[in-house]
Amino acid sequence: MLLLILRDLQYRRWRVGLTVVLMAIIMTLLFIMTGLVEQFNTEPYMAANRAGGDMNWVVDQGTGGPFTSPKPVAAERFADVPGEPILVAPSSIDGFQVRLVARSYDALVEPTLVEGRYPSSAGEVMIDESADLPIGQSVSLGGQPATIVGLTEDATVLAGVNIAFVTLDFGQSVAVSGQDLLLAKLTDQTPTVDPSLKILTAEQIGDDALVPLDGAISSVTLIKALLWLITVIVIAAIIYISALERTRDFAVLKAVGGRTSKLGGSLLIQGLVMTLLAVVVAGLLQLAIAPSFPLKVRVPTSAWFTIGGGATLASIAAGAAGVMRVRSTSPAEAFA
Amino acid sequence: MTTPLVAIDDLVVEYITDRYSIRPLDRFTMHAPPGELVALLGPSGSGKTTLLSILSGMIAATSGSVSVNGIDVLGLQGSALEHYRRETIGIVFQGFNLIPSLTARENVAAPLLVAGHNRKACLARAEELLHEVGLEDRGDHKPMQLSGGQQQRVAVARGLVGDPMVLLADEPTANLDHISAESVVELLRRLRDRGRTIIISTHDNRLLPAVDQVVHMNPDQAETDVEVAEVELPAGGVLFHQSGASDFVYEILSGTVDIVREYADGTSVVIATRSAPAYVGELGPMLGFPRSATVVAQGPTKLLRLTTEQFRLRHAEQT
Repeated sequence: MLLLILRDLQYRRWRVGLTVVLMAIIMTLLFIMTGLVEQFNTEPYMAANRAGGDMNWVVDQGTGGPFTSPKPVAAERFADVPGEPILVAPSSIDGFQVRLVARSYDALVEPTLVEGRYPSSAGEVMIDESADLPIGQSVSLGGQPATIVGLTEDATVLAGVNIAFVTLDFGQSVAVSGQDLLLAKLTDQTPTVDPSLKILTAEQIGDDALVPLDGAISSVTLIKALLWLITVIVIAAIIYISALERTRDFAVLKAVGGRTSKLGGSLLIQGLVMTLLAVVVAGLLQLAIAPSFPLKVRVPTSAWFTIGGGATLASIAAGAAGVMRVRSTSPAEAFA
Repeated sequence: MTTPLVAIDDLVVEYITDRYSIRPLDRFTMHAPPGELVALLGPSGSGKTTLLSILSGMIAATSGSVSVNGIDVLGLQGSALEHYRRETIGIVFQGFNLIPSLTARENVAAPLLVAGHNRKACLARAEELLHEVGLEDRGDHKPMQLSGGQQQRVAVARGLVGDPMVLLADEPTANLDHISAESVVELLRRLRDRGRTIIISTHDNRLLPAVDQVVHMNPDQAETDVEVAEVELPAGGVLFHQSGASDFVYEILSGTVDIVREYADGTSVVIATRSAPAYVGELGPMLGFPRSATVVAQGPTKLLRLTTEQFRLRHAEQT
């Protein structure tokens, strides 16, 4: 029976190839959309982690979140708060929007170093590698000259805005004209603070940075749902049409004593082979395409199982409809 | 007397199409002993393919009995029917019906492959049969690379792969040139000589001298050597019934008749009315088709009964 399946796939190789490519393209988009949603959902929490690890942020009551509505206040407001001072403020590098994270040199060992070194003095910047700025590149940070000394990863926020890490003094010089202002103090404790201050956990900061992305996430999720629908319809239609095309063959094979179960099984196997081939091609395609996206596409491992499993289920359902077609095919049609 | 391998008795097949019922086989009887080449002769629509479909267990009969090698074919179902098709009969379809994706060898082996037999053994058996039909050097060719005659011989080999006692062939020479047709007939005769019963359907009279038994599928031919005669009908009298054998043409001398189409649900409708002078029922006998409607007299009616030849001469004189 496998010989008959193989021969049919060979005989219709161009059509099978085009079908696999068509299914693969749609599934590639599904992979990409899944990766974008994953990136949107994880980016704020990773940004919070890159800026302050798992520590709590003691901020002014007027600060909604460090990345969405930062409100630097005088450093003496935090005089009684134990912890590491930090300043987060919007800025720009060569005209591109960034979020500045300024901490003391010792504390700047938090983000993972991919290349170069951590900034240790004024004029030195470490930035996410997606900014495409090489080590040694001279840039203008908030109007002040600076040099890229280190590259990190997964340090973006608000859908791709790069985080630039600098020393605290340099950050204050760039963002608040050298005033001794801070956004927060980072502490691994939960201190009792003045009523004018409040404590935010790293998770709350991630939650806050996620809010501006709600619309984008909903839109991409909707597109993802539509792509799922298209994927299922395309797979089902292709496999069912394939069964219809072979009605005559099935009639002949039934007429010469072929078992309906075996003929139907061959149809199911054929559909599954094409679908799984398309999943593999889609997986490889997304690996090739994803780096060219301006946003990081973070395809979770589970997507392989979800998309592969969903496509397989669609294939089985369509194959089952095809099997019903085989069942209802009268061998007498072979005489027609 | 030799016990028949194939025995068909009082077979009736009736089906409904476009609301009215058609009866391609009506109390049909035929017996074929082992090792006989039987031709079912008749025009399109005479029930030849219907009979082959019945013999291969593909369609149900309305009544009657069909026995092949002692097996009650009409009672077969499910796996017993699949087994019967694989082991007891072989089928050769009109137009070959080879599977285009398979080579000649794989086409021959296909019935065994789909039954789940060992692939190597299936292909070896196919090779053997290709040799038997003279195509041992064409085993790797796809159907489109073979001539019509070669495709037909592959189809015959496929029909033989289960070593059946009965081979059914639907118009085996219909799509072939005379040279290919001759080689196929020769092949069928050779297979018959080895003890198989072979039943072919054909509308080609030229095959008849080569077969052992001819079964005429439209035996109710109109008589040709009868005198012109008058027929009188009372009001409501039926001249002929729908689906009945077409024998004569009738000329209405006086009175009026209704031409009535009868439907399977028991209803009927008058589709035309004819009054003297007019003819009625002329197409059926000319074409050899059964009556397509019932003709009923509205009141006392007098008609002239004519054979088709008498009708043709009389009609020519009038025009």
